[in-house]
This record gives sequence, structure tokens and C-alpha cells, in this order.
Amino acid sequence: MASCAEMPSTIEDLLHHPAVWRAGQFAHDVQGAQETVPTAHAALDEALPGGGWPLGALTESLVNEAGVGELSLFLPALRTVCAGGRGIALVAPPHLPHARAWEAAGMALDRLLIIDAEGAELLWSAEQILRSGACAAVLIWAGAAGRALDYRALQRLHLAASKGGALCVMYRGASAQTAPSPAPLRIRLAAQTGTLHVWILKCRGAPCVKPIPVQPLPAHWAAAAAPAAAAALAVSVPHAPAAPATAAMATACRSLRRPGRSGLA
Amino acid sequence: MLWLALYLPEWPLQLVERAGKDARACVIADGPVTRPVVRCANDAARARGVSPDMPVAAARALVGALADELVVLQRSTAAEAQALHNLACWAYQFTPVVVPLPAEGLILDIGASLRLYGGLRRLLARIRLGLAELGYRAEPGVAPTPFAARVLARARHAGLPVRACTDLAALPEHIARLPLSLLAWPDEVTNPLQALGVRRIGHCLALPRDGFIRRFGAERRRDLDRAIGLVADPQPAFVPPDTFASRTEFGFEVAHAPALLFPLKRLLQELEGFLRGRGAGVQHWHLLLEHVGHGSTRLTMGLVAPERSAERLLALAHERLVRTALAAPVLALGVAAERLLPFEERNHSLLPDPGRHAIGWEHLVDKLVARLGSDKVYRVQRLDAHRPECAWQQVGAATPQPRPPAPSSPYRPRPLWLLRTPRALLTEHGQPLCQGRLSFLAGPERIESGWWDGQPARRDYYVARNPRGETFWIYHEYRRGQAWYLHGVFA
Repeated sequence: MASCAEMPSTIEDLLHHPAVWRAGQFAHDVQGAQETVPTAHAALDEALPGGGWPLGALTESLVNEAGVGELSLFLPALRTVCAGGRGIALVAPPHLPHARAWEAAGMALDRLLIIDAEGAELLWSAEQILRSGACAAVLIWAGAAGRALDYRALQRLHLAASKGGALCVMYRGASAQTAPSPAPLRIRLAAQTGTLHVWILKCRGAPCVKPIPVQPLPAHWAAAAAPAAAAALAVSVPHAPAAPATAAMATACRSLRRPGRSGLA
Repeated sequence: MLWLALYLPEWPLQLVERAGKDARACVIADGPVTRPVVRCANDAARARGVSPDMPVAAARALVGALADELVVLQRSTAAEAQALHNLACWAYQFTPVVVPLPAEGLILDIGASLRLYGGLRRLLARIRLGLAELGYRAEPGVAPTPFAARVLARARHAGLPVRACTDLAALPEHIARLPLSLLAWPDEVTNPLQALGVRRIGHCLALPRDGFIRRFGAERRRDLDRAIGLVADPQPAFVPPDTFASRTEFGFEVAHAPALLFPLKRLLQELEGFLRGRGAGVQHWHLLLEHVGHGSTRLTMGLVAPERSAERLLALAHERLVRTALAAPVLALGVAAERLLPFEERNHSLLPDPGRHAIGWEHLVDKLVARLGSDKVYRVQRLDAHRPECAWQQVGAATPQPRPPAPSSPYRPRPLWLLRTPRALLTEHGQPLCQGRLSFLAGPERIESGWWDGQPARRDYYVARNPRGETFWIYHEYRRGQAWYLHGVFA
């Protein structure tokens, strides 16, 4: 019974053991490990580990709609990371960037690189850009990648992103929610009553289970559209419950205990 | 002054072998068409007993009964001269005084370069390494006079143990023991001297001056005076050209593009040396592939900024070549550059910075353009026009862009995405539809323009949102039948 004597006596001692990780201690722990850039939305900053969008990591943004503010959501962060003069790469964007609007948003057009590619070429270009570190931000629209985008491809992109240290956002359809992904941060975007809601599906630490309302588009539009958009609730809500449910499950599983040096030692 | 002579043994053979070693026996033939003579033979041929000055027919008989066992290549003096010229251009990076000597090699005045390159030993090592990278081999000779340097290089090629001589006073003694044949005098001079028992350069130097001049001519004595530095020996100045063109022949057929990379690397290193000598870089260069059957392919490579690193040029060519299907097997490869641009070396930081793996914007764009094509990698530029479809311009990522004046902040909202061509919307009771009924958030904004260029527009723009929460930029066109169009997305 000599081993019993070495065992921690109380539950408190056990919880202080370095091998035990608690879901509650999320944001502060990862803060040091992960470099982030503020989102400029206070509620979102609070919910995200490290207080912002992660740099040097793949961020998946799952959205079915076009025009809910999915790009504007990242504009403040893009402005911040590009302040040093580095560029932005748009890989396979769905439409043409409107020069006036980007300039008005504070982006330098001469450092906005657009790459039209599809399939394996898309992934190759994205990886090259991420790896190079020449761009401060890389936005990838994965729709054109088709079947070439599998778990391995995502892993390669994530590795490339961690090497280059850029802000890397990949837009995918909401159907990708069930597919496994190495991205440390996965968010789901949908509009409800004229406001964009962000569900954090997966992140380091405990995810926030509630959707976070943000307003990347001009706020007065939301008010103007509210009566008409009330009917929309029925459309966008069905996607939502799946996310919090899985997230809550994940939290519950992780909060049990991590395998470490257990009491049988 | 200190001179370095580079003796290039078997120059015609070196040109063939630099494109890639061939295991087959190979000879370079010269002389009359009816009775060609072997000028140089490679190792495989010499192992079978082929030696220079042997008739080609005899060489064939030695190597084997089958005619294709011995590769016979016709000597081209023009190609040899061009290759020597290119090598002189390459050597220009080490010193401004380079003299190409046909059928022998190069002489360089390295006296002023020693300090820059950290001493004679380091400079010689560097030149030797550079030559090996180009696929050449040369015997060096170092002496205070060009003539003596050439003699020492020849002595080295003959296998004699000679060392570099840097002191003019010690030079006569240094070359005294070398055989007379190294002076490369004609036979009618050397034969009588040999008969007199004068076998070494030292003996020759010891002969009475007047008698020597009477018997063998003033020119020979002046050679000796030049060798030991008693008489000035001015050398013609070599001026490197403003364009670069180099070519290498394989002697065999290359069917796969990746196999071209090895010889291409050598040509690009030659280009790099040339550009270093000129202090220049290239922004466009051409790759010429000469095919079997006299056809040829010319690939032009463009870069964002002037560049001269062979490694980088090769990496870009690699991206291009792996995607190029060869029309026919390739027999020869060429590299050409016409416009030289001033090149500035960039400073690299000593400490790792945040962009520690940064290869730089230009490098990245070059790489993407080389693989995807210039129409797939681009930027947009704002133009001052009212019609949104006219207010932008697609510009290549490679073209340097003058910064447009600071934008006037848009008075009205503008969407981040613009559709390349406006999409017509369905309507219901006169109201536009886009995946559901659209409700208007802002507008109208009248844009009426273009009456002068045949594309008149009279439109009312609105910001509208559909039940899914998607926000669009739509317009009502009053010309051409009163229709609604989708033109942008507020993403």
C-alpha cells in the first residue's frame, strides 16, 4: 500500500494536479500559447480563446448564405493585421472585390491579391501563400476545391498556416459541420432577425454554447429589416440547435477528466 | 598585378559533357568530311583505345563493329567561341579584366580582387567551385605576368607539380625548371632549341640575348621578356555585352521536361554570374527548347522584380516546365535575356523576425504566376467612374502599380462583392425576388451615366435583404425594359 500514501488525499489536491485539466480554465490558459487578433466585437472577443481570431491557425467559417456579413465580420481584424504593410490574399472568391468598397474599408488594393483557382490548384495556391508568410491574411473559399478538400488537405493547410503565422479563414458550406476537421476554431454563421449570429462549434478550451449576436453590417439596416425578417427565423434556426448540442456534449465529455496519471499508479 | 590563367582542356568535349554525362563512347570529330579525325575522346572511348588525331574510321573499328556504339559529334568552332565568350562574361564577376583566349581558356587579372574575396586561396576555391557548378573543369595558373600564368596553367595540365607564384622577383626562378614545350612556340623554333640541348625555360633565358634574337627572332625573346615581366604585356579589354544568350547541346534526346532541369541549372548559373558582373538583374528571360525535327519552343518567364539568383529562376522554370508538355524530344536548350535592369541586393535580417519564413511578396507572386498563369493571379484597381462595372480594372499582380489618389469615402454604401455581370432578377407584382421577397433597407441612389459611350445606364440602386438575411445591392434599370438586376453582395 505504499503507493496509496503517495496519492493525493483530497479532491482539491487532485484538481491541482498538472495532469488534470478543467474545462472552466479555458481562455486564460490558451492565451499565452496562441497569438490572436481582436475581432472588434466585444462579445465575440470574450467568447473566443485568447480574445480574438487566432493567427497561424486554420479558422473554419461555415456559412450557407451569401451576404449576411460573413466577410465584414473579419474586416476589423484584416485591417489590424495588414497595418504593417503585408497583403491579403483572396483564394477563389465567389465574386469580384468591389474596389471602392474595399478601399473605403481601409484596405490597400495594391496588396490585395486575388487568385482564381479550383480543385487541387486552389489548395496548392493556398498552401504556398500561407507558407510564404508574405500575406498577413488569407481568405479561402473552399467551395471550388470540390473533392480535393479532405481531412489531409485541411491538415496541410493548418500546418502551412502555423508556419506562416497569417490569419487564415476558410469559408465552407454548413454541410461540412459534420465532417472532421483539424481546424482549432470552427464557427457557424447565420442571420436571424437581421443580425448575424456566430456559433462557436469548436475551439480550444470550452466553447461558448450560446450564439453570439454581432453586427458587421450597418446597424440601421437591421432595424429597417426587422419586421420583414421576422419570418426568416423559421428558416435559419433549424441549423442552429445541432451546434450547441454537440458543443455541450464535447464540454461534458472533456470536463470529466483527462487521462493522465490516474489513481491506480 | 596578379594574373590567373584558366586552361580549359578538351574544350569541345567539355561543352558536350556539361549537358549531362553519357555512358557511351563519344568523340568530337574534325577535319575534312572525307577523312574526319578524332579531336577529343571521352573516358569511355579512351578506355577502348581511341586517342586524339586518330581517323574516325579507326576509332569506330576499335570501339565496336556496330556503328551506333560510338557517338561521333562534329566540332563546331562557333559554338566553342560562344561558350568561351559566355564563360568570360561569367568570370567578369570576379574582376573587370578578363581576356578570353581561343583554344586555350581565360586569363583574369585578380590582383585587385584578392582583398574583396578574402585572399588568393579563397578566391581560387570560389572560382573552382563556380566552374564545377557550370559543369566545366579548368587548370589554374597564378603568376605576376599573364604569359607566365598561362605557362603555369599548361604545366599543371601536363601534370607537373607547380605552385602559384605571387612575387615578380622570384618568377624567373619559378619557371626556369619547366620544359620548353610549355611556351607553345612553333615547332621550327623548339626543334632547333631541343637539338641544341636547350630543354627548359631556364636554359633559354640564360642564352645570350643578341644571339638568340639573331637566330630565332625578336618576337621569341620578347615572349620571354613578357613572361618574366621585363616588358609590358598589355591585354585587350573585354567588354561584356548587354544581352545574354547561352545554349547547350545534349548529344542525345531528352523526352521529359524534368530532365531538362539539370542542364538548365548550369545555364542559369552562367546567367547569374553574368548578371553579377554587370550588377544587373532580369525581369524577363527566355527559355528555348530545340526539338528533334528543327522545331523549337520559346517560353518567356516574367518576374515581379529584377532577379538574378539562379536558384530562384530555376524554381520558377521548374513550375513552368512540369506543366509543359514537350512537343517533341529536345536536343538543345538555350537561355536568353535581353533587357538588363539595375539590381539591388536586399539586406537580410540577422535576427528572426515575425515573418520568419517570409519569402517575400514578389517571390510568392512569381511562384503563383508561374504555375497558374498571369490571368489567374491579379489585383483590382479603382477607376473613377460612376457606373460600378466601369469603376474597376483588373491589373496583373506583376505590374508595379502607381498608387491612386486617396479615395473619397463613399457617400453611399458599397458592397464588398461585385458581380462581374449583373444578374436579372425575377419579379412578383413588380417587386424583385431573390430567394424570397426582397425588402429595401436603403436607397434609391440614382446613377445615370455613360450616354457618351453607347452603354448608357439609368439606374436606381437599393440595398435589399431577403428572408434568409442575405443583403444585396440591386438596381432598377429604367432603360432596356424596366428590369431589376442583382449587382453586388454585402458580404
